[in-house]
Amino acid sequence: MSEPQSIFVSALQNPSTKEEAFKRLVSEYKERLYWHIRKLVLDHDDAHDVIQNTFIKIHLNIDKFRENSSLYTWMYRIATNESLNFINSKAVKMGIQNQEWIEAKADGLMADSYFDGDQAALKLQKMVARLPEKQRIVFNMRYFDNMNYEAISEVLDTSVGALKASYHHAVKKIKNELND
Amino acid sequence: MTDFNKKKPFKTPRGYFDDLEEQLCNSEDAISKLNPFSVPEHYFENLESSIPVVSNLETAANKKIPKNLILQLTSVAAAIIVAVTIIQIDKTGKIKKEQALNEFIENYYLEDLDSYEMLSMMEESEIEETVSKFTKP
Repeated sequence: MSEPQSIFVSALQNPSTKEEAFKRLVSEYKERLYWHIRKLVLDHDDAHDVIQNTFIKIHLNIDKFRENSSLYTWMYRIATNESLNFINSKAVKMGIQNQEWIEAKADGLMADSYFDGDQAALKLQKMVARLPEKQRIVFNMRYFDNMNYEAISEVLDTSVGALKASYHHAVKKIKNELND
Repeated sequence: MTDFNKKKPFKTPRGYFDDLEEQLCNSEDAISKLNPFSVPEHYFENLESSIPVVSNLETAANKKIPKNLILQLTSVAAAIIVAVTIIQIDKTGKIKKEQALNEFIENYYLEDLDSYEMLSMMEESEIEETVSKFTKP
C-alpha cells in the first residue's frame, strides 16, 4: 500500500469509496492478522472465525478510527481483543478457565492436520500455552512476530517497562522448562 | 596522559544493540521460530469471499426500502388483522348465543314438564322402546 495512511483511511471512511477501500484493506492485511490470531487461538477453524469477526469489527468501527495510532496497530488491537474474547467465550461455555482451554488446544496440536511442527515446536507451543495470558501474548508478539516493544505497547496499551518484564518472565519460564 | 584518548576505540555494527536480544534468542539453545502452523490450500485466496462485509454486508445495508412502501404494507397488515379478529369475535358470539338458547329450552322443558307431559311429546315407538328396556328381566 504505497499511498499515505491518511488518504487510505479517508477512502475507508467515505461511503462512496468505503467498499472498494475495504476490499483492499482485507487483501493487504489478511495474512498478517490471520497469523497473529492463529498463534493466539492455535486452531485454524477458530482462527478463521476470529478473523471474520475481526474484519467485521474493523468495518463497523472504521469511521471511529482517529489515526491516533497506525491503522495496522489499531487492527492488531482489534484482532487481539477478538482472539481473547473468543477464548473467553469458549472457556465459559465449557465451564473452565481460559488457561485450561488454551492448554487443551495445545495438547491436541499433534492431531491437528494443520500443525506441521516437530516435537520441539510442539513442546514450545505447550510451554507457551502454560504462560499467563499477558505473558503469552507478549511472547508471541515479541518472539514470533518480531514486534518492537513500542508497537506492542500501543497494541496492548501497556507500558514498555511492563512489557519487558512480562517478556523476560516468559523467556525465563520457557528456558527453565527446557532445561528440566 | 590521563586524558589521552579516552574515547572508546571500539565500534559495533549499526543497530547491533537493537538486535542483540534477538540474536541471543537465536543462539544455540534458542528454539526454532519457524511457523509450525499451516492452512488449507488456497485458504488466503478464498478468505475474502468468506468475510460477509466484503461479500454482501455492504450491499445489504445499502438496500433501503422506501418509507411509503413500509407504511402501505403496515396498513394492509393491520387491516387484515382487524378484519380477522372481528370475524372471529362474531363467530364466537353466534356459537355462544345458540348454545345458550338450546340450554335454556332444554332446562325449561326438563324442569317444568312432568312425566306424563314428557310421554306425550314422545313418539309411540320411542315409548315402546323405553318400556321394553326397563321390563326386560
